[in-house]
Amino acid sequence: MMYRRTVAWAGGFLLAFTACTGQVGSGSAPAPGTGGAGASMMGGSPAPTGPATDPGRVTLHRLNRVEYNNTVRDLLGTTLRPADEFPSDDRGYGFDNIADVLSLSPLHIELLQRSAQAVVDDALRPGVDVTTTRFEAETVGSPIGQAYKQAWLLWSNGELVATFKAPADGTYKLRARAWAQQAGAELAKLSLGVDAATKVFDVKANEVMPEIVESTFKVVAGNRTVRVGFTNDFVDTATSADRNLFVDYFEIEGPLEGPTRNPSRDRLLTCDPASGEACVDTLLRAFMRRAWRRPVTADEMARLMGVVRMVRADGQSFESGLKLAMQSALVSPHFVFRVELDPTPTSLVPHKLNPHEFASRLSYFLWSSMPDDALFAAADAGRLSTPAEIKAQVARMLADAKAAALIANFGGQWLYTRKLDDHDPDANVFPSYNPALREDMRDETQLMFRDFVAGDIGIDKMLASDTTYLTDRLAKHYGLPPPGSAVPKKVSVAGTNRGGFLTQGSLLTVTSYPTRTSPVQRGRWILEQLLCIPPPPPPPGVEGLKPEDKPTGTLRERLELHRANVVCASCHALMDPLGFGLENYDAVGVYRSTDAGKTIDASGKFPDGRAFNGAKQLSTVLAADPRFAACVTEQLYVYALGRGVEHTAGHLDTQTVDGLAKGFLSGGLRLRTLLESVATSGTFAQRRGELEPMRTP
Amino acid sequence: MIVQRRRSRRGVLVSAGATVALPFLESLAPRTASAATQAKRLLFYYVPCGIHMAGWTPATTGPAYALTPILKPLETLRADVSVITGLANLPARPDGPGDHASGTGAFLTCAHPKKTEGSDIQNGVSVDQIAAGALAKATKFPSLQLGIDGGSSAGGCDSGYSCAYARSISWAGPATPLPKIINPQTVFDQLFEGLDATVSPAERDRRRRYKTSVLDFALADATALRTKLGVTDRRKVDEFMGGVREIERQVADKTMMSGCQIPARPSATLAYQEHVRLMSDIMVLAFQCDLVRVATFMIGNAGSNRTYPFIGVPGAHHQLSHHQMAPANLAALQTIGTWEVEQFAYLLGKMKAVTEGTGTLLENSAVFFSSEIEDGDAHRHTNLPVLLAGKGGGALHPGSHIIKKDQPIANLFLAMLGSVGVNMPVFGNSTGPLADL
Repeated sequence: MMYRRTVAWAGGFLLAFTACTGQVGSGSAPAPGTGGAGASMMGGSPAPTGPATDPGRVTLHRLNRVEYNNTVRDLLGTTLRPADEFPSDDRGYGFDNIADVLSLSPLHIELLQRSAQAVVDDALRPGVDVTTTRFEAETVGSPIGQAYKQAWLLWSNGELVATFKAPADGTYKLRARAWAQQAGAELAKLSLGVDAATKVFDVKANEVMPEIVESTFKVVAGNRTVRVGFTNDFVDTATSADRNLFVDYFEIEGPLEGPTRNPSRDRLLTCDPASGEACVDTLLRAFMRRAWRRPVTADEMARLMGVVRMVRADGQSFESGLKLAMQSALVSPHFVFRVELDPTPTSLVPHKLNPHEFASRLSYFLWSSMPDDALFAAADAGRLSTPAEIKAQVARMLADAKAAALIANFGGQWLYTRKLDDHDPDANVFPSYNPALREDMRDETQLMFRDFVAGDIGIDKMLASDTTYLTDRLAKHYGLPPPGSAVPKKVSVAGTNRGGFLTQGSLLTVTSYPTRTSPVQRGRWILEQLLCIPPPPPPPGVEGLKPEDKPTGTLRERLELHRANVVCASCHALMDPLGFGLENYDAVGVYRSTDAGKTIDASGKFPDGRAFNGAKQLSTVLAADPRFAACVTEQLYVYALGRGVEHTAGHLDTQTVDGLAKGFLSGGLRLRTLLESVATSGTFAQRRGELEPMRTP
Repeated sequence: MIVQRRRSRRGVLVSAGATVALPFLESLAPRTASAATQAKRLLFYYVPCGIHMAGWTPATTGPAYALTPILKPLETLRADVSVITGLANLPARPDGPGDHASGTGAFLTCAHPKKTEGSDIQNGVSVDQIAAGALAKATKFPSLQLGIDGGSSAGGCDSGYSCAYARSISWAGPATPLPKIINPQTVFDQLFEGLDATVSPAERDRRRRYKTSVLDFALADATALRTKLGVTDRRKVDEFMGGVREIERQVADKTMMSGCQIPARPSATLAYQEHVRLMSDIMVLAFQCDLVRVATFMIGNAGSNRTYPFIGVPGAHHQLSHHQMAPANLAALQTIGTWEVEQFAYLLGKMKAVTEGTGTLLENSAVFFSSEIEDGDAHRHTNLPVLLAGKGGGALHPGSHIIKKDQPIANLFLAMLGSVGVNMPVFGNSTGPLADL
């Protein structure tokens, strides 16, 4: 009953939308990539003339910034994020992993080369052991004094100086074994120093039982000067009393923080490259199949070993050669791009991806990164062809911590959570907003999204939910009782003015202006991201509100001007009411009941006259809209393939997306199931070549 | 990096956080020192969201015009700058909304950017790239693209226009926007790699050979891969190969190995104001060392919504620029515009302080300043706010307010190209070089 009513309403809504473009009816094919899902669910797309067989093709896909960072992390174990300095990736269809628009410039090449060097150096950086280096004083010697038995006698103020190579930054202990010949009122003073830092100690001991004097120093890696000195020489000529210092030895121990291994180096270097070419060959072979995400050919290996030999011929170590070969592999197009080959590049006949190409599609979809060993093994063994095998991998991969990438990248772009990074609420208007609060908002949304990836909850609960994730700080911001936790805690918000994604701070903030809310932007977000209906652009020259010296009335009252103007009304009648439903939340998501001193009216009407009041009623209606399910499906499909949806006749996309959406809807809107269905769909596993353009003779 | 302390009497280098005043290097003779062959430079400076024109346009023309509030920071430089009123960039008019992206895409191309968010972007070649193509052989880097903002991380950029239009003013080809460098460390490393005097010549040579080896390897792989690909994929590999060849050319350039003092490597994280000044310092240094002769700079991306709490402006730039004639909004826009001109004046001041031959770096340059639109509310692409600084090596005679009503801004670009010896019959929608500059 409920379902039928919603569809009826949705139909009216859609009609209003098409009227707004100036095109009445729904006979024209939707534009590729956007606006298709809603329309095709409603039966709006043309029926293909023949059976659809075309799986389409994904353009050679350059790793985007996120994928590059994740890939070098998983390949080398580095924590460096070199692609943060790469130019921003362009977006298409709302995502930054669309192969067609991922371009390359000379700047990219320069940065790819530089980052290859940085990540290889970092991965193969030697570990650091704790060592003690001892210097026998009589061996070190000094211009002052002379050797005395197994020690050195400093008979006047002077120093014993040695050079020490600190293997790493850290705390080091410098100690000296010494005794003194006392005279005068003071005890003999011994100085310990590393570079410019010096500390002075009294020495009480005599030759019978020398003492150890020690102190710690903060030391920077590299060559350091270590010093032991005598600072208060004294001679009484009348009595021949003479103060002298004897040093047996001195030593420096550290770093006291303990030994550090470099686990990346240990993992990568399964043999010692210094042992020769055989080891380097073994290491490179293992590295290459992971770096290029496929087995490498004998010819490719031979070329890499050629790099190693070139470095060796320069008198450099095998390890240097290994490093340059690894760098070469990381700048090669076989690393920089996800290469998928067609047996015949000009043939339109569909073919299945080879297992390694498929493994990469799967891992960049779910992890935004390269396949792991288990996925490589499955590809090697040809165990990625049946739906059961693929589903098993999806389940395994979603359970892995790397699936956080799906939340951050798909979720972050679909739900706009990423926009928190570049949104900057005005500090004068919203002094309570700060980076810690911003991260709490991000966590709230990401943790919510994680529940849909991990669990069996229908994604309609994203809009209508009685629970959320709050810290004390975010609860206070929302005016809710603090859960007594500095980290996000799942709490019930039943009976409060919160519940569902439309009431979360992250969305409410990033769809606002820095100083005020924007019902237009919020309404537009709902249309574009939840229903996949891009609002048609306003006519030129009508941006902005009417001039007012002193703004009067609520923002809503002022925005009603949009709808008073007949030119603006057609589209704003669509966007604004949705946004007005969220007016109870200010530009950083704080609940309010008044704006400019007047009570907020959060009621709205859809073009067919159906009314709602406030965010929760709006959410309930949206959650039940079948276009919501279709829109989630289309967004995930675009993200999974890294290309827009094609609606041309004979193309598999329309029926694939429709089928996925129907299954998603009838299966209870479980995101996990949808992820599996996308990964096992025909277009995800296939591609074809393309015709060469006609050439004029 | 080595700080040349004996030079620091004229500029203090502070690597962490503070504004870095890079040292003046007047003793360093550029490659082309004699008057006849004096290097000439072009610099294009972009500010977003238009300008509050009532606070910008001088009331009278000629050299004796009274400085308006926004132009006030140019007081000590007024003889070095002309204010040009009336120029238009009509190809920048968008199809429907999208004036910011379209105006920015067309900022230096004077072409009509195709409205698309897909891979079929289409624009013209920008004036800086025309100059770079003609002057490239003279320097290690053909051109430099610097900016402050990377780009938003979700959502669309402007009303159906690709983010490429909103983020890049330099276009090497109609579909080839050049991304800009926003991290001062990145541009520093790029400019000064291989110029470290503490590294032995043998070691430097070895590094260069190894870098070339890595690039050669990539080029060979790309060449082989290309033969196995269809037409669309080949285009991606072609982009890759073009990039590799350009970097190989830069690596092979050994002529800049002496004569340039390398300042301290700057900090990567800076406050916005410091970031803007540091990028200016770097551009001046790159010119001074003759590493590059053409540069573009974006103080923000198209339609920037930056907030300016540090100058006491409430609200955000784009939001304010839709001022609706509200006095508070206009006052805020005037403050932002004045601040932007202040940054431009800082850059010009540094260029003027560099002595070159018998003149200054500024005199040997032509420096352009404007925005993607005129007024932020009206989104007009006529009567653009334009400053032209420097003497272009003698071709330009700055110091006046001049009116060039409804002339294509492409005509100004033709004149600027001419001042550096690049004579083009036509550029964009030009009708002939602007005269009497």
